[in-house]
Amino acid sequence: MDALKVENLSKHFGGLKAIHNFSMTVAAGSIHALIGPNGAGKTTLVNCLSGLFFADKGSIRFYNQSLESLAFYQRARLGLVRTFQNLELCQHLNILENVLLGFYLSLENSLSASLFFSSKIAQQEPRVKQEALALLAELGIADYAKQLVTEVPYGVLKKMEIARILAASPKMLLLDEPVAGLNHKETDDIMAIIENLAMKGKAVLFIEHDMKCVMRLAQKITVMNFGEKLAEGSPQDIRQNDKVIAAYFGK
Amino acid sequence: MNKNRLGLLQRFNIKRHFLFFAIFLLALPVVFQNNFHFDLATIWLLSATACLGLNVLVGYAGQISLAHGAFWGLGGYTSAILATRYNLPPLLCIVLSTFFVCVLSYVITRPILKLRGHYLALATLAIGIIIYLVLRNESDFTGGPDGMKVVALSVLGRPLKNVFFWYYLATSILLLCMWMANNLLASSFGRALMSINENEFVSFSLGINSETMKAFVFQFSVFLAAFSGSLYAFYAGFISPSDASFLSSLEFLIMAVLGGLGSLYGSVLGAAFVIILPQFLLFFNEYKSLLLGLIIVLVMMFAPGGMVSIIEILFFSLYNKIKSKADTGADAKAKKKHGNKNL
Ligand SMILES: Nc1ncnc2c1ncn2[C@@H]1O[C@H](COP(=O)(O)OP(=O)(O)OP(=O)(O)O)[C@@H](O)[C@H]1O
Ligand SMILES: [Mg+2]
Repeated sequence: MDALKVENLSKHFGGLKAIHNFSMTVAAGSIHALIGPNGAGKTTLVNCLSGLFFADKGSIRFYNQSLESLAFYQRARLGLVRTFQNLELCQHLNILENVLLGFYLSLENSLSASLFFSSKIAQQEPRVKQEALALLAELGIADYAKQLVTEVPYGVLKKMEIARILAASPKMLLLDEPVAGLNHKETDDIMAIIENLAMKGKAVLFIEHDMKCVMRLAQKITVMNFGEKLAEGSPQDIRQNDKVIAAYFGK
Repeated sequence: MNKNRLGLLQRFNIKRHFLFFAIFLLALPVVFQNNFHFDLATIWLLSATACLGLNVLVGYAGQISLAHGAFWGLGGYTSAILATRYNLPPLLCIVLSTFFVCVLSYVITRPILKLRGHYLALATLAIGIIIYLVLRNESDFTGGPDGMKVVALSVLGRPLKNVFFWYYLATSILLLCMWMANNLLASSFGRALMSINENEFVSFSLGINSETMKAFVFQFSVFLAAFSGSLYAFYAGFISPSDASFLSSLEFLIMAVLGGLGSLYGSVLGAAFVIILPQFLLFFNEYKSLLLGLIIVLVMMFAPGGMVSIIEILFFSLYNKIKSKADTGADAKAKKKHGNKNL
């Protein structure tokens, strides 16, 4: 079954064809990598998929539901969530509170219940805190729970960003360069996290420049260049593809 | 001291001091010497209630409104007109008027809540001025520029004019509203609200619909403004267009900013400042606004977190001093105890 099916997607910025007639599918429960040189349009694609941008044309189907007319937050509610290439943080909240935000959808949020501190609200706060702490522990950053996001290492923030979207119980994750800027240990940690996610049945589409990471993790790789699909296949196929080698190392 | 230690999440939390604060307000009349003191205090508490909602709107949702004075005034006028011209029971008038202002503001602000920053400020400014002009010019209903008299608040036909009654009514309403605002901010709703102000990408990516959220908070703040404005009209027994003017809106905003954005106690402090201080400046009458302006500039320059932050800083430095003294004391004691062993 396909988790995500993109057909003939285009997004132009003025004359620049950031994405042009792009199609791809991501199988449910699989790890799919999206690679390509700088400026190839990878982030723009994730922006169109997650709803930050609306595509100019083309169709996006998520578990057979069409997404084109849905807003960013509505797509997240369906279970399609993303991280950002440049960390997006709430500076005044600590790590735990940032992750608590992710539980928003599963919590009682009605105005009247919140105003009068209904018993449901009173009960859910300690429970969700436990869940958030467990999630942090699972990703190995529980020690940082009480620290502000400005006080912790970059690697912790990268993991926190994943914890935050996991809290929203997604069906599919779009990860934009999850290991960029991390050291070996942190990279290995995040790779293990991603593998673990796929084992739990979640589909993962990730963008990455680190080839070792891509080759080890991905079951399928899509290569993008100048907004179009250059090649697609298993890590083996891609490694030997002449067009890909040319795009990466010049003619 | 790390400024972030007093981050947003800690600031609003009023639980720890709430009981003290409530007792303080309940006991305050002990120092009042005449009706004028009661009068000032009642107006202060009613204004603080209106300011509370605005503070949540500006301090947490990051939305600026320059129309809250107009909503306060419109609430007052609607109550006044219903009670005085149509002879409806005052309590019913307060309910109807608050409801009316909320519905009206929902309809007219719905399209503009998408705007941000200066644009939102300008749009709300325009709405406020339109409300003001309508109130001033519809003389048949509102009495025009001269304002109108309002019948006294009465329950079962008995007018209530007792100063104690009004002071404690205003106190209980303020305390109740502070409690509700605190609940709102302490819940998952409040967390989501903060994320909208801090980083809208984050809220979107987690399925939080920031637009309805902002609309909710706007309505909450309008509700408080209209409600306390209605009470004010009955309390004062008179209402004029200046209560709904731009200056009135500006005053509410100054209360919130001066007291401390994002702090519920800040609203109370800011309101006290704006309502009570001018009374001490009466002999400077000509220069009153100048002095008020100067104080605002000074507070903003040296304590951008508002008056609450000054108190917090004083309190924390005092706390740290006491703590470090206690620590060195404990160290010395420990040394004495183990001193012999070490030798
Ligand atoms: N909001 C925007 N407005 C205009 N042009 C944009 C916008 N976003 C991206 N672009 C352009 O679209 C092209 C693709 O950018 P994109 O960020 O998708 O590349 P990328 O593949 O993610 O690159 P990198 O590997 O460096 O992250 C670039 O030429 C970029 O300048
Ligand atoms: Mg990119």
